[in-house]
Amino acid sequence: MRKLDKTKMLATAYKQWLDKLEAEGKSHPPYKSSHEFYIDVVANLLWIQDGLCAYTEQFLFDSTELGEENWIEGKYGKSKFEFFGHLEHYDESLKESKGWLWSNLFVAHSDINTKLKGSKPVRYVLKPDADSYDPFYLLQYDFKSHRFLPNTERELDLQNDILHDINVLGLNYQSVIQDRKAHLNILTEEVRLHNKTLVQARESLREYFTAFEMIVKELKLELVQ
Amino acid sequence: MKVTGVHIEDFHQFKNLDIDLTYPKGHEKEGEPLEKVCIIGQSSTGKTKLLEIIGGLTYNHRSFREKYSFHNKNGYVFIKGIDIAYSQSLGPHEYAQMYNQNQNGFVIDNRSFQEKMAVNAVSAIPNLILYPAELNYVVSHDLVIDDFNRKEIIDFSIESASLIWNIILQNVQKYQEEEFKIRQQISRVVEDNRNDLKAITNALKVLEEWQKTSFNPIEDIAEKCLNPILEKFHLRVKTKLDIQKKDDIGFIKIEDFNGNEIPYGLWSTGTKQVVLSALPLYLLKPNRTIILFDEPERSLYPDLQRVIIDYYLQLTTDCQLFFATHSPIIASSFEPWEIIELKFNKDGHVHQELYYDGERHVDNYTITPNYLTYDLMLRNVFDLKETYPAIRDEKITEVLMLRNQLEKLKKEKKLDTTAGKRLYDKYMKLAKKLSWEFELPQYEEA
Repeated sequence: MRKLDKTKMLATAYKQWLDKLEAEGKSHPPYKSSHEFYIDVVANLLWIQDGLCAYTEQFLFDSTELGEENWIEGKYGKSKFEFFGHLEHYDESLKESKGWLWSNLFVAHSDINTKLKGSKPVRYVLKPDADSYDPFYLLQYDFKSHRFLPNTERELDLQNDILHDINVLGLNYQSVIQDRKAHLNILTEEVRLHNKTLVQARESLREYFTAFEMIVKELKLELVQ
Repeated sequence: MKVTGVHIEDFHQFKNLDIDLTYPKGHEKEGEPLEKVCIIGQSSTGKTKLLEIIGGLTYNHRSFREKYSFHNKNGYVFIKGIDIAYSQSLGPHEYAQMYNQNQNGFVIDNRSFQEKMAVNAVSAIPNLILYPAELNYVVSHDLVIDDFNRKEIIDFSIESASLIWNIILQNVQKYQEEEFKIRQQISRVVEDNRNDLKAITNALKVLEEWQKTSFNPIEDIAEKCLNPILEKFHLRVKTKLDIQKKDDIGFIKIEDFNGNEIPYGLWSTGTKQVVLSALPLYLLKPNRTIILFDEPERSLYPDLQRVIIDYYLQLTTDCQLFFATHSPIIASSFEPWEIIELKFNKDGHVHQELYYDGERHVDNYTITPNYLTYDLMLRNVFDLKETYPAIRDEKITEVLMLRNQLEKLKKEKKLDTTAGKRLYDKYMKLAKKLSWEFELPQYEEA
């Protein structure tokens, strides 16, 4: 799960509307996909997330179609587009009262949203846009099982909280592991067996960046070259 | 007659569906019709419908006619645009003789039963046997013999499978009567020659010799048909019967390994399914017959699903068997070219998912279901993304975290502390619950 910078705003019309709402202390209108800013929020988030699921880093959409040139006066140029994901409330308990809160919204793989996370509470330890979030500090990657694990160097209580959030956010969801394993095993072997340089491998990667960098560190792939 | 291919131009969810039912290039039986075929696919893709089309169009079967066709004054008319190809024993020429095509391309069959039998040059053996997903488990005590031996088509969605027992009923009765006669003779000898041990021994030898040389239909069914599969239910056919008259025979009797008879009403549905599906194959001795099974896995525990296809095959001779199934275990009994996977495309039409690249050659198959574990079958063939509950992933992540924590304590030489032992117990218990089916990280030796 990469760290995300959500200050990069393209959906300025939405942001102005939200800021006004907050400033006036008004409650959020009900969250629904037919809302006028829904597509703008999705497009902005997918652009920030490089077209990946905010949690699992699975590929969802080609984000090159979402850049600044596709926006007109703070609104995305298309009224709809198809992507393999859902607009997702990080903390489900806020969905009712603050359904449009920017900091609580991410685009996640639809399976994570519907089959796994649902309304399970999070512990805010793994939140991709949090200032304190650092995947390399909180997580480690087990190359044999292709799973993210809590960093053993952290306190035990924190490890338990990390474990909880790993599970709720689907970082080790079955289909994600299979896909990640298939991608990264091939790539790692290509580097180890000198079929690709590390630079070429990084360039060819379009998802699972964090896991790959942790593998590079763990297997000392920098030294293979 | 065997089916070598099906083309459906446009019928319900099928559009331009072409199915090759021959062995592929490079196979020792290249070009010959497949001996067994497994149809898989999501619900509503039309597995059962495809079975019905094959069976119904091949023999103009009534139930198919009623379901899918309409009739005009000339007779029943099939749907235009469905073509079925057959092996050489009934080629296009003979097929044309069987069915007359009218100007609109519709196929009309006005032949009598006798004419059809003559064309097929088959007698006393059914051409088509259909097993629906739900067999009729009711045992009919109707003693009116429905002569299955003369039927061209046997459809167990209409007929009661238990009636097949009538075929053997007379043989069983004859055998029992013969035995009864010999036993009566022995009784007379014993009565007349109470002190003549030699005479009594000779009389008993007659029975022994008769039992050795006579064909015992019940024992034959037991040994060659039912016992090999009933053993898996810890049951066997009861061969020692006390039968005085035909009415006593009833349906086949089954007992446990201690000799306790299990009344039919107490048979499990799996036992009924196996007995009622196997008996017709054993008794009718199908030869060059097309046999259709819908959901052969019904009521069968996985261990039986593993063997049921081979079991049915060994009860038949030179037949073509079609199975429609939802079971990866059943599907794993087939070679990749024997599997027809139906899938919806984006337009909502059904196509066949091909397991080979380029030419249909044995070397070009990329999916080989019988090389896969059932887990991989579910994922790679049945397209199931998750093959176990999500909580298993959570627990594997937890057990690996605990293992890492133990490794850290080991490096700090704290394994023998109270906290270390508690952590160790927790880890071992959870690992056992996960059947130790997870990959341990690579640790450096201390």
